[in-house]
Amino acid sequence: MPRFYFSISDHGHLEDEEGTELPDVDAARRHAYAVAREIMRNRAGMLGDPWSKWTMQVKDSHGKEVFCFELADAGETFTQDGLRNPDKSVP
Amino acid sequence: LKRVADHRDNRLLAVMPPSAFDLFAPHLKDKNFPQGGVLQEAAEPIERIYFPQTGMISLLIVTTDGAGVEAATIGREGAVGLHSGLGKRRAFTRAVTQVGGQFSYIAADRFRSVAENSQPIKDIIARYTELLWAESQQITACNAKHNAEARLCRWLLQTRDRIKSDTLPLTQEFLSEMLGVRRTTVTLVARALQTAGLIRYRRGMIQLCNIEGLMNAGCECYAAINQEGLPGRVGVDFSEK
Repeated sequence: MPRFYFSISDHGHLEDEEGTELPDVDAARRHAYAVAREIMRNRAGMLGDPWSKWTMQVKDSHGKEVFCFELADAGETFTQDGLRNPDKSVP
Repeated sequence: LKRVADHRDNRLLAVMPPSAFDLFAPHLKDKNFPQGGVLQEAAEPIERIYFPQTGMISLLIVTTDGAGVEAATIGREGAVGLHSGLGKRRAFTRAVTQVGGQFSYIAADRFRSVAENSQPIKDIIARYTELLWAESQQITACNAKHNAEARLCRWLLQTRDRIKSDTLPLTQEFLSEMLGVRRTTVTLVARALQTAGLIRYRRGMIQLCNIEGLMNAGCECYAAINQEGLPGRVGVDFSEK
């Protein structure tokens, strides 16, 4: 199974050195969005929260970028009104 | 040279009045339990009570997909299965040795036959159960309301108290299970804490470098349930007769 690496960056950079084995790019995409939602969860109303500006970059085992997106687009709302954004990014 | 068991390194055993402790001490044993061992399984009768002197036990709720999520952790401040001293009980959680260590243990029926006739022991069981109840209410709120980073900080500080060490032998797989998030999430959040100088991470080992920083980065839940403060906060006094 191919191994994918999920790193996030803004002005700083957090590298995923170990990676995760997943069957294909679709599975990597689902994993990436799920991780982004886990990181963003319960940051409601934290507009100053630097995490909301982060992007996630997914690479394969050759270090080649497979895809990239902004954490804030991963489908979880960060507003305090309890409304959910449409989960548009999840395939 | 035979090692003398230090049962009283466990806080609950330490607060037992000697007259009560002596009633079951002859049946109390201790040995080293390695990391990863299952001590009790959910829905099974509780056969033994464990009192860690060192190390740490996790109580896990195992959901139908087979994944475990942390319900509580028990170190030298507590015991697993203590309430079975009040009557035959079944375990509600799976108990796993998360940090190997020396545990005192006793057969539940032995302990029960002594507790039946000892008001001081019954009182300690009741008080400890109140503490667990308070802690579990706080953790329920924490898991629902707080983000992964804050919960990881709370968890690291709590584990530090349990095992009385700033070096925690914990893998990312384990942390991911405890916090109920994917391993990649733990990797990235731990990396953020490391970049901030709060922890240093090596394979299977987390060194806590800045305790105050971790308290600031964490939620209020650690302060609410830390072992020094919790008994006083809920009015439980183990020395009270």
